[in-house]
Amino acid sequence: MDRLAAPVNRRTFLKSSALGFAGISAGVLNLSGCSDVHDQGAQPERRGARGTAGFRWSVGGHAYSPAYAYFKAARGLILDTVSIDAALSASLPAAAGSSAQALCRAWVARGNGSGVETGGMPPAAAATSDFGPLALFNPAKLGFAFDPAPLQDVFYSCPLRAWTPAGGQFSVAETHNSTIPALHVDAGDHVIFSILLGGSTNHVDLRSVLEYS
Amino acid sequence: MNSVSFGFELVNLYGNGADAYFPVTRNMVLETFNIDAAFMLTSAPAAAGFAEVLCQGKVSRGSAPVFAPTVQAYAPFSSSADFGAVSIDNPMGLQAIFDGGLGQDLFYSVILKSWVPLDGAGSTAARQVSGRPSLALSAGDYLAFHMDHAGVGVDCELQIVLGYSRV
Repeated sequence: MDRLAAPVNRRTFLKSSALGFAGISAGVLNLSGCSDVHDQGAQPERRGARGTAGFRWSVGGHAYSPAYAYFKAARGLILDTVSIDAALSASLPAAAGSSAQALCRAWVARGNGSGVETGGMPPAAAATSDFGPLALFNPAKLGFAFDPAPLQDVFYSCPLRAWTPAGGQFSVAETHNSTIPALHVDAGDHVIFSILLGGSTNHVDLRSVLEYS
Repeated sequence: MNSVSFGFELVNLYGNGADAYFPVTRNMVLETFNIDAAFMLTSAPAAAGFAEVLCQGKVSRGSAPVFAPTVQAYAPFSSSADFGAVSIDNPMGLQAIFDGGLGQDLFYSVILKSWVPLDGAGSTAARQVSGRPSLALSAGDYLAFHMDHAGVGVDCELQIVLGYSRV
């Protein structure tokens, strides 16, 4: 649990990269970056060269309200690849068996008008116009939950789910996710990460590495 | 490239299933998908046993998909004309279940399996799959995602991210 007590150091945050830190609504965040793409000495700029930047973020608790971490693109770029490690573990022994879960998502919020820099909530991802609304075929009348439509510019979405028995054995969930979003991000756009905890008390850690050109 | 995502969760799977589907509204190429599937118990089981969930994604060409009117809500697919029938060589007479042919436009198929002990320890199953189908989609096509289940009852969730290029 040392990581939960670690201080947030905003000044170390991607000062030399195309991505700038903007904020965090809960948890602990620590960014490191980056191997930027610019020329070294007199060498010409290499076409297609990339930069990388990474950060970590952890939240703990059992609330059903989401927490956000976000940062602004300081210049236009292509978000080529994303590599995210997400892990959930129970953080307290359970009196009885219970489920523990988290939904981790990331998306691009377009434009400067998102309001986050003036203390507003990060904007939710919006429904796309390239696909229609979801419908459900559910002859067994199962309980369900779903997004009413595909959400534009969401490039990462991952459920972490575990069962925590009274003894806590195997009450962990983890996944590594490498994707190639190849998303165009304009200067002033925000990259937003969210974690929604559910179930018994647990702790989620995200480790993200972004490659961009 | 462009990106969209949606989530789909079935809370009380127990020998049944359901499907989520939506239309494509413009011509595009479905370049990539990244799908996380995970199930967990929501209560301790009455008895130990196996649990499994089949998760699939497919394209329905030109019209909304038609699903089997059974509690499993299977999503039938057209047999591919590019491949022949599947044959099984089974000299020991093992119990075998298989598709008789290859399903055209099926681009995602995952089976989650687990053993569930009485206290539920270690019974979660999950998988993350990335694919590059590069499938051409036309306005009026549909994408459909299916889950069906057998064994001890579970709650299963799919989180789906699609990367596509507009044409």
